[in-house]
Parts: sequence; structure tokens; C-alpha cells
Amino acid sequence: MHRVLAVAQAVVSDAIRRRIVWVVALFALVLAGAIPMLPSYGVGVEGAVYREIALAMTYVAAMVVALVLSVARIPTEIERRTLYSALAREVRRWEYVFGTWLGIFITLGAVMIAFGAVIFGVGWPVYHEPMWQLWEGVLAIWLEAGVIAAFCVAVSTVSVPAVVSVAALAFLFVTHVRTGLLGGPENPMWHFYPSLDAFNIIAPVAHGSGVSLAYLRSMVAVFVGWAGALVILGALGFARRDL
Amino acid sequence: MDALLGSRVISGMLVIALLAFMLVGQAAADALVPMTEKTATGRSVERAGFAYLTGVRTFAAAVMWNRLDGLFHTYYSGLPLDEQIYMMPTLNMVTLLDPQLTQPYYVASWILANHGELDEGLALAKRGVENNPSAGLLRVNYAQLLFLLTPDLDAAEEQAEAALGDVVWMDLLEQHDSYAVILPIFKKTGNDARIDYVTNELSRLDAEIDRLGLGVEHDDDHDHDHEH
Amino acid sequence: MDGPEDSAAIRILGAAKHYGARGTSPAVADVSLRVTSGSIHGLLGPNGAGKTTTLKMLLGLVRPTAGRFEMLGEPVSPRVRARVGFLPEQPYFPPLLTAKELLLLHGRLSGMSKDEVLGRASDLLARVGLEGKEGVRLAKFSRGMLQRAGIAQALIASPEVIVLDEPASGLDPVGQRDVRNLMAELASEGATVLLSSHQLSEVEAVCDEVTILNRGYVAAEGRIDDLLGVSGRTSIRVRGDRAALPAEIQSLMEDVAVAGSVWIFSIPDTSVRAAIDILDDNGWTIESVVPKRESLEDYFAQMLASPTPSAGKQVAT
Repeated sequence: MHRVLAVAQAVVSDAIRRRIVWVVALFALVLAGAIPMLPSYGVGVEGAVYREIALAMTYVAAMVVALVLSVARIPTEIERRTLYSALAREVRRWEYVFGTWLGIFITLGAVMIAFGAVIFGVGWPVYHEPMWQLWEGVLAIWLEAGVIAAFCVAVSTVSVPAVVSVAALAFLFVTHVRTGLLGGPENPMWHFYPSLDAFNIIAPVAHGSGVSLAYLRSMVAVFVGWAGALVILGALGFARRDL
Repeated sequence: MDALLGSRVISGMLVIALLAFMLVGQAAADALVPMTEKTATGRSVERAGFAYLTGVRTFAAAVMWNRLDGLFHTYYSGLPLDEQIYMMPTLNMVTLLDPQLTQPYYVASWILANHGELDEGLALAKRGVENNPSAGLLRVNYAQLLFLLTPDLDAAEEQAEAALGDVVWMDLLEQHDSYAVILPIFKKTGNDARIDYVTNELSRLDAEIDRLGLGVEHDDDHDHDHEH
Repeated sequence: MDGPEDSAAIRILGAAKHYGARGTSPAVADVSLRVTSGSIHGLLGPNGAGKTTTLKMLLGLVRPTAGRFEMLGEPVSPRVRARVGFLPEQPYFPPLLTAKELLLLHGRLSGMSKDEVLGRASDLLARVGLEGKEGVRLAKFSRGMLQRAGIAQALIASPEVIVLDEPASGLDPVGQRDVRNLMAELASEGATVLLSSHQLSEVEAVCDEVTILNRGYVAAEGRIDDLLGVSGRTSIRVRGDRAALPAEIQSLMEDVAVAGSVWIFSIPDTSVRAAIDILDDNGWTIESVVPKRESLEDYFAQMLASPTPSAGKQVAT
């Protein structure tokens, strides 16, 4: 496990210094700060709207960061031969894939904490209530971004960044159209459709009272299933690849 | 772990097990949080979703309106329509993205008017009429706002008159309810010819609605209230 | 070529790598080599000879189509690779890492603790000529500095076997000399060095033995002196302001080259003593007397001209 952590640490060190992360972070900060100035025809913007838009912005920013960090990471390392010296050591291919994903996931976590702190910190004084449920939304977005990163890492072990990007967008689309394709739980295929909808808790967080601890556990189960399966598939693809 | 990943069969089984675990978690999550209710409007927009892809702007407006629809019927179902302030930023965005989507003008203008922003509400209702001159609902909406909330009776009558012209109605019920709304305007101005015409039309529409059995269908969320 | 098992640090038997759906494109057709423990072994060959692919198969970066690979007496596995350091050709490391972080990464990948790596990093960087550069990001390194950092990462875990792919690439002459010295030091400390290079002077200077690849086959192998030596003749270099060398010598001379007042020629070994006396008596200044051997460049050129890749295989023992 120390080799996985070593790879992850290197990814975090490298990723955290990429300016693109901070450009996107700055973008999100500016927008989160601008939310109270949204057009409202003078009737005001209430907390629910703030929460919804803040989480939507966080979601978009998280997805962009996840794609930026994960789409080209392994292909670039192969192209530039940076991983030769690592894989020529006592490092298994699966350890490299897992460590790479873990590093990206940890980086995303740091970015999400920053986003969460901003939207929470702006929302409290403006709407005079501590919106603790925002953190549930931030957690959900982080987990979904982790799944997207796992998908990108897995595909990138056997493909080039352009293909990975298109595949990731297609994956996002397909995993979010369960309702559109199947209607609702009355459809017999409903529970068998691989979806990321479990992470979409913007409505209950923004307009309801958040989600229960049991729901959060279910969400984590969905995350473990998705991320675990994708990382293993990535490791299998990478193991067979000539570098 | 090396042994696990060393065998493609075992790795494949592990992947399947993890995906099954994911589906169990997904089912549990489905059971724990209510989905936003799917309404007739939502379903129709959803069906049209792929067609809208050819026009990203109108598609985005439809998605936003569709989402608002679900929230309205789930999290805010007990709240009167003109108290649903949370809709305002979205409604504003929807009217900007798709000026031909009529319902946001109607909803937003009343929310504004009932929250001390009459001028904003009237301006929005007027913009709706300008962008959709053949939408009967928006003519009547503007006429009713002018009639009830301003002293400008002439302007109200002008819009009511337009609603009797070459306009489009979503269905007979909408036309019936709209005629019922503009009848008091003609009564106030003493326009006897129009009073007779609208009264006769209401009788005709009543009979037609009864004949077609449309009264129940209009209650599309089954809450025994007419929509809007 | 098989020697005692325990003296071989690296053994490759019948390595082959074919690309393409039907394996019709062999990058390596049939390569076997043996590297004696504690030696510096050169792997030579023109571009496309299969040097890098052979090294990649040895290190697990490319899946071989055929062949057996052993290091330090065991079949190659991640466990064995823990005792190996590798410098890829033209290494490029994550540019936002510092030199110290690069060593930390590779040290930890080799099972070292953070303290162990940090304790060794400064000395190692100084040893490769990067003293005081611990905190500098690799993005600010020149090509030569990156090469030095690459050598440092290869050595961080004190490997018993060091595989260097074109280590002098991108280095200035001073840097190339430093690398040669470093390889000699490592060998004297007991490490085994496998050096892949197309810089013949570098290989000639440091390698005990070489394996020469051509078009996926082993074209020649053995000690350099044995491969290049031309038995029975000695090369003499003299200086003198004369129009011709003494007549007694002229009948013995071959390969004569004249540049200004300098004459270079070869004569049979048996005539060397007499020839020196004659030259000395006639007032010539003798600058060098060395056994005549073919240059590696000449050898290479002859080998590449061979019509079939494995036809000219030579084994010098």
C-alpha cells in the first residue's frame, strides 16, 4: 500500500501545483460570490435558490477539475516516459493505476473542501442561516467527481486524451438519463440501470431538509461500487499494455 | 491483490460484484429520497428532449422549466403559486433563453405583482405579449393585471379585445377560464356587444367541455385543482 | 555464452517481441545476453536494432512474445525489480515536482522510508552534479540536468543492477565524462551496469563487455578488445620534418596516414623494437606506440553492411 500512497502523493503534489486547478477554483469562487447578485426582479433570492445555484456551480467546477486532472494524466506519462522509471521498480501496474486515481480523488477532495467553505461562508451571512446541508451536497459532488475520475483513468490506460474526454462526457450523459429512458421505478429495468443519479441530491439539499445518514451510506456504497469496478477495469487494461 | 488481479476471471467477477454492490446502493438511495414528481408538462418536455437538442438554447430553457415544474409539485406543493419566490431567477433565465415559452411570463408576473413589484410584473406581462402576440393566455393575463391592479381600464379592455381576436388557446378549458376573466372588464367598461359575445361564447364552451368530458383531464396533477 | 549461474546478474534467453496482429513486425527477433555480476556491459546497436525494446522486456514495461528473463538469479518480477535502478532514454519527469520530491517518490516506490530518502537525497544529487538543487522544480532543469536527476532517481535505492538507456544523451562533454566516472565508481562498488548506447566512444571507454544488436538479432558479443583487436600489428605515431620515413621501415608499413609533420602507420608486432630503434636513430620523435585495433565505428559500419542481420554474428570470449 505504501507504493500506492507514494504514487498518490506524487499526483497530489503535481496536481495541486497545476494552475488550471486554481483557475477553475477562482472561477467558482467568483461565481459563488456573485450568486447573491443574481437577477430577481427585486423580490429577492431566497436561500433555496442560493443553495441550488451554488451546488450547481460547484458540480460544474468539480467535473471540469476531475476531467482536467484525469483525462491526460496516464497518456501523458506514457508519452513522456515519466512512468518508465516508476514501473521498472517494484510497482505493480494496478498499484500505479490505483495510486493515480487516489491522488486525483484526494486532490478533488481538497478542491471540494475549498468550494464548500466558500459557498457555506457566503451563504451564512447573506441568508442569515448556517446552511449545513450544503456539505451533504458537496460530499455527493465529490463522490461523483471521483467516479468520473475513475472512468477517465480507466479509459486513459488504453486510449488517448481526446477519446477519453468524449467517452467521459458520454458516460456522464448515459449515467444521468435513467429517468428519461426508463421513466420511473415502475419500469422493471429501473434498479438495474447503472446510474449516477444517487449523487444528485441538489433538490433535497436546496429545497428540502437534506438527506438522511442512511442515504449518505447508500451513496457511499454506489461510489465504492462504481469507483472500485472502474479502477479494476483500468488496472486490467493497463496490465496488458506495452509501454 | 496481485493474485486477484492476476486472473482475468477473478478480476471480472470482482468487477461484477462491485457493480452489483453499486446497484444495491442505488436501490437503497432510490428508496430513501423521493424523486421529484413527474407531471404532464415534465413528461411532454422530456419526450421532446432529444428534438430540442437541435436548439441548445430552447433545450436549456425547457430543461430549466421542467426542473422547476418538478420542484413546484414536490417540495412546494402546499404553497400558493404567487408565493413561490424561489422560481424567480429560473423564470427570468427561461424567458431569456426561450421567449416563446409562455407559462413563465404568466407565473412570474403574478409573483412580482403580489410582492410589491407591480411595475416589474406589468413589464414582464407586456414583454410576454410582445414576444407571443397570438398567445391568448398572455393577452388575458396582461388584461387581468391591468384591470385588477391599475386604474388603466382602457388598456385592460384593449388587451381583452385582443384576446377575442386571432389568438391561440392551449385547450377549451383555458379559453373558457380566460373568457371568464375578461368578462368583468367589458362589464366595467359597459361594452354591451362584447358582454353578449363573451357570455354566449362561455355558454358554448361550457357545453362543449361537458360534451367532451374535459373537466377532469385538465386536473393533470390529480389534486382536484385546476392548474395555474 | 552460459557461464556459472551465480556470476550472471542479468540473463536473457531467446527474447523476442513481435508487434502487429499476426506478429509480422519483429522489434526483437532473437536476443540472448548475459551480464556478469559487477561488470559494465554495453548494449550497442543502430537505431531500430531492438536495444530499448529488449531493456523494456527485461524491466516489465513491454510484454515479451518469447524469451526468459532473469536478474540476480531469479526470474524477473516486481520483487526483483526492487533491486534494480533504471534510467529511461531522454527521461522526462513531472515538471512541477522538485528534485527532492522526485527522489522521494522513487525512493518510496522502492520501499524506502521518507527519512531514508531525505537522508540520501542531498548526497546523491551532489554525486550527479546537482548539489543544492533539491528544492528546484524540474520544469526549471535543463536537458542535461534532467538527465542527471534521472540518474539520481535510478540510484536512490542503492540498486544492485543499474540499467541505463543512453545516459549521456543531452549531456555536454563534461557531463559525459562525469557519467562515465560514475559508472566506473558504481562498478567498483559492486553494482552491475547495463548500458545501452549508440555513443561508441562512451561504450569503449567504460564497458568490459558488449553485446551488439542489429535488426533484432545479436550480431556480436564479447570483450571490446577481443572484438576490435587486430592481432599481430602495432600502431606507431611519429613526428619529424622529413619527406619520407627511413627506407628500412617503409617495406613494413601499412595503413599510412600523414598530417603535416605527423606520421601514423602500422607494422608487424615482431618488428616494433627494431623500427623504434631506427626511427630514434634517424631523429624522429616517437609520440605513441599502441596495439593496433579497429575502431568501434569501423566495426559497426562493417556489421551494418552485412546483408543478413544474424549472418555476421561474432562471439569473442
